[in-house]
Amino acid sequence: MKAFNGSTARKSELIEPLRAQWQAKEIMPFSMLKLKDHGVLTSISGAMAQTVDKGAFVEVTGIPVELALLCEGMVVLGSQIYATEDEPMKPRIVGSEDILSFGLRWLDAIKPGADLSNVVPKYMVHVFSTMTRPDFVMGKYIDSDLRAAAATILQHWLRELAGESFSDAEWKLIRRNAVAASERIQHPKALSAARMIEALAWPLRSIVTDFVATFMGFGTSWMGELQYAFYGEEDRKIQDLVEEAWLEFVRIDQGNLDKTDTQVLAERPDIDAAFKAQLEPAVRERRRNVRIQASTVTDPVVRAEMDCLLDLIVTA
Amino acid sequence: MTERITVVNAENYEEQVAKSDIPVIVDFWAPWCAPCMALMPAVEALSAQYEGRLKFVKINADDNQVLMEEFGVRGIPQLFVVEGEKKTLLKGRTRTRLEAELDGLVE
Repeated sequence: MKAFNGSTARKSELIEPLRAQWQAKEIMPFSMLKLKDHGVLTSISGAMAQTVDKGAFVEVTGIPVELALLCEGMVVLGSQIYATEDEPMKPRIVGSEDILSFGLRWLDAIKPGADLSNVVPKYMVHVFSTMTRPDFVMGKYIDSDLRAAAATILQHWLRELAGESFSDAEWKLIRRNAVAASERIQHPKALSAARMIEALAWPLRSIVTDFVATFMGFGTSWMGELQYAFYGEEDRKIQDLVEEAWLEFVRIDQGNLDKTDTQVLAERPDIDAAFKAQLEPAVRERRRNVRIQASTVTDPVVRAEMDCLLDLIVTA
Repeated sequence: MTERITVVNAENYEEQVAKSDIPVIVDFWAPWCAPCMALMPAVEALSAQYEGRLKFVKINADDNQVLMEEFGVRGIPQLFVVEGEKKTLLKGRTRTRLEAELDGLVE
């Protein structure tokens, strides 16, 4: 796979038309390909390749589609995207210039002809390394056996990158252990890490296709943890109750809790009220404003992730 | 979409699903549905992993209201395993969880 089929002219042809559209916010970052979805919504990568077909995207651009979706997803994590009641199909995006500029910066960084197929696998290794570090901001919620499951996956991935391979049986055992560790979590704030660890317990290159969607859930929780300190007491309470409920819902789905979602809401009026509250326009606007204030702490984290991706792209 | 996953609608449902010799995994999806698109790579990978043991089909929810009602689908993505007349809901939303459910079918 050669980026832009090795052609500087092809790179310009694909990227240059995007600049005015991105500046005018006619195209938006999405972690999926979109082209005139509902007649209006177009993602940066969808506009570049003029397709929502992943195979066609790769053929047109020479870029792994997972990399494109991850880079756009990173902009999403660092910004606030919302629609108003007046213009529900015209989402607005708010974010700092250095975060928003990444929407095209990652494309500018690509050398025509570069083989980018290892960028996302290496970034996955980076994410698991970050997550298993003792000083990781969500580390205090991650139980020791869940951390051990993540560390095992990470070690296997590193050995795969060095050329080793492992049997299906070995990976099945790793998955079984990851699922068991995931089902034993105690803290609702460990849920997104648990889901990512069990979902990605597969050979590195085989699971790249599933990474972005899983990572976006984890990344949103990561940002949420950083934003939590900026919330007032009421919003923290709402957040805690909603997270508590999600852990219950997941346990119901896993067959580890003999209830229904409806029963949970009926038994816990405080949880039911929290779900309703977070849909209220005034609460949503207040929380959106808080998240914008919290960008003083989220921006540096997102920028560091963007820099990591840029390094991997430039050195590919 | 890989060739391992057959596109099914009301016209070919009987032939492709009801008369299948092996259990059929039915995936109700739509192109605008982000969770459906997120799950698609997992479904595609599993269709390769279980080739010859399970058949995978996709039904576009937007174009197939009759099948949606027949299966009682209220939201997507929604996956079922169909064995003859029997339709069983699959709960997994990751490759890992779906594999665990599908292993139970083929073992």
